[in-house]
Amino acid sequence: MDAYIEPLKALAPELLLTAAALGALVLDLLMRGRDSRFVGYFTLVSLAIVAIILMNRIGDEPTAAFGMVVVDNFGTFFKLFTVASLAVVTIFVLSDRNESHHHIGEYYFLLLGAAIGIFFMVSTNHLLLLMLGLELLSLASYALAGFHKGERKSAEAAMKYVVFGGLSAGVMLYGISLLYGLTGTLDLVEMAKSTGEAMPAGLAGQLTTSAVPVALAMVLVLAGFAYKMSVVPFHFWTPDVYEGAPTPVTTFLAVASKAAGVAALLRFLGALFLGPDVQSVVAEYGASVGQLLAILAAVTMTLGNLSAMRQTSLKRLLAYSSIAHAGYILIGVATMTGAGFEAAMFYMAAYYFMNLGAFGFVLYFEGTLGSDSIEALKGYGFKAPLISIAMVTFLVSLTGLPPTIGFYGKYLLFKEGLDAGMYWLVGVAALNSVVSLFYYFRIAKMLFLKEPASGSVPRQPLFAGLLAVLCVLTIYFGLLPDAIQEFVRNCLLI
Amino acid sequence: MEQLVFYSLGLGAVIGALGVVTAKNPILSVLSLLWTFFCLACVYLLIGFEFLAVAQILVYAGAIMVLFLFVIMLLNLGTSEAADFDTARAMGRRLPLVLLVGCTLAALSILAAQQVGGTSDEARADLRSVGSLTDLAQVMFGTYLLAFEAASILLLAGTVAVVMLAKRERRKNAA
Amino acid sequence: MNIPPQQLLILAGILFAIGVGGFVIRRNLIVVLMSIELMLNAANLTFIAASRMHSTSEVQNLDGAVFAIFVICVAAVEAAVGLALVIAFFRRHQSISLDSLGAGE
Repeated sequence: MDAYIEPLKALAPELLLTAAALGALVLDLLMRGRDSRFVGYFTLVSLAIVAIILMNRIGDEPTAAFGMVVVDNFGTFFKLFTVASLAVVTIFVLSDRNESHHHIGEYYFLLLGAAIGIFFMVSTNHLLLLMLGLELLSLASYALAGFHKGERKSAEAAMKYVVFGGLSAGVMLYGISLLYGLTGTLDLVEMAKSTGEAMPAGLAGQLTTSAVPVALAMVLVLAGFAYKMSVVPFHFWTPDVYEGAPTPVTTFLAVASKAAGVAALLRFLGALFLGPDVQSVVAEYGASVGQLLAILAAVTMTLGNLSAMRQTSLKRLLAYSSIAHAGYILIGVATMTGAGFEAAMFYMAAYYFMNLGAFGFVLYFEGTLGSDSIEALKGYGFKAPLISIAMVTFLVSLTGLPPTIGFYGKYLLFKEGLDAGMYWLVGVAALNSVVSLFYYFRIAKMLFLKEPASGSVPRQPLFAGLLAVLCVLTIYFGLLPDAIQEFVRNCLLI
Repeated sequence: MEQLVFYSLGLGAVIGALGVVTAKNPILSVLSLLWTFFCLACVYLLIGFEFLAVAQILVYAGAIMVLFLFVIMLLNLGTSEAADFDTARAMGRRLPLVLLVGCTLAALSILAAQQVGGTSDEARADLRSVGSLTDLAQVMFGTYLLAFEAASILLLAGTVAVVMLAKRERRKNAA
Repeated sequence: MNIPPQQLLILAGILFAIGVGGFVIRRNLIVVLMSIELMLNAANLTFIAASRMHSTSEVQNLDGAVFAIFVICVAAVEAAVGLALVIAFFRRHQSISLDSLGAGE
């Protein structure tokens, strides 16, 4: 019996989330026909409790539970990230003017379910649990994207998401099966440390025989991560899904789901290529995987930024911008060093503030004007000055200009890229930042430099307050990034 | 003898799979897929994984394929609907791309298979009992207990998602 | 048991390639979902073949076989959600063509 208690304690956040998800489902049943807001408040409270437990975990020694879950600071960092972004998304749902707030208890259940999936994804070195977590996240996301299934765009978005999601799942699973066939184990750490003398040969032995099968398996598995992060060539779904899904869900996909993809990728690469017991052949091979990622990073950011320039819908523009940001994050991953991973994690933290803020603005603006075209923004800055100023701050941060957190994040990424000798990649990224200046500032120009149209905007003081807080934090951490950097450093993988 | 059985099963599976992707009528596709699954189940039986063979038949053939058939019938998608797209011409246009992708993947997979298969050629003597239910259950509810529980959450989330997506919208939504 | 594992894996590779090919060539959403099922089955066959290959008469390696069971479970859920969406989509569009999804840039 005792043998189960200790690991169960280690899994407390996951268990609590599961209980919260079931609770949300039951609460919604009990509240049938009435307001679902209560379920939303319940979700917020449970997320707060989970966050407190996770906060207390920071700095603990890593432990393992049930032989599959690794409870370490790296996982805790991304779990906190997930919980924090989910809390904001829940507030978005509660203040979404386009949502009916009746009979939407499933909304909260699915959000929590997706969070459980992310929790498993970010804290395992075992491919089976990774796959299950990924599927849980995908499944909940499909349903969330199609939540307004009566609307043309929402139904289309969900369909597209499911079709491409199924493809990437199939491809990734085949890749995993090849990895298993090559090494005879599903545990990434085992895979990397096997010497290759005994049968099965392990990754090292296979690499000395021939690298082609390993490369095939690796590319197929990476496709799964690329899909979650919307990295080229698995980005097709992003603009349509971001545009068609309800805005809170878009926010969730752009922030939490993308971070889960990044976290799982970092852990996958870290365990396979940068661990303490990794065979030298395998570590060398990691460098060539880094090269591949560098090329993907360059293509992804260029394509994202160039397509963003032509958009007329704010949500589509942010979708392409999120593709571009996936490219920037990949710079840190491609270096294949601990410092590079740290920069990528810091950038994720920066991304949290600025992207949540930007999508919050979209939600506010959509709720008041009923449209998300950039044209409709004309003169909005004079009608709703506070949140428009906040939006400009987020845009400055997304561009990567001081004095915001986005600037420091980009600075770290570029610095690590240069340290790793990838001058060309950093050059491409710098050019891309200049390109992004144009389209981000087109929005700012619309907000403030055009004549205001008539009409006033209804107020949502609480929601505006949340955006203001995000805005202040974007600048605060931009000026004093040490707190976050220290936090990230404590949560490093390697 | 076993070799011969395997070859015919493998051939059957491949022909079935080709049928799935080329048949114009979706019902024919479903039946071809059913045939492929049946062949694969027999292959599993042949290499000693009885339980997986049974699961393949029960879950795939029994549940998933019935679901597909059900949806096709429900939406009344006989031939008329399908004839509007996926015409021979439209498919012909995409054929070069498909052949390129398919052949590359197949070639790479076969290459990989050669090497994967070569990893352990010794001592595969008598493995009649490899996939026996007792051993599988031991691994599944021992080592992989947590994954099993995670799968239960997955199924619950799937159920809720399907109910939510398939029920008719109550409120009127202007598109 | 004298079927060489290579042959099982080659069969899986061919099935996978056909699945991907079907995904690319077809526009009927239901057939596209079936192509995905084919890919998942290819993965399953690889898992099972590898599981058998890595087992000796003393030590059994059943990881792959168990993984295959989970893949079947995942395939079932994905098919169910995919088909539910097809129904919702059909209600709105009266079509199940991938082309009617509208080409995103």
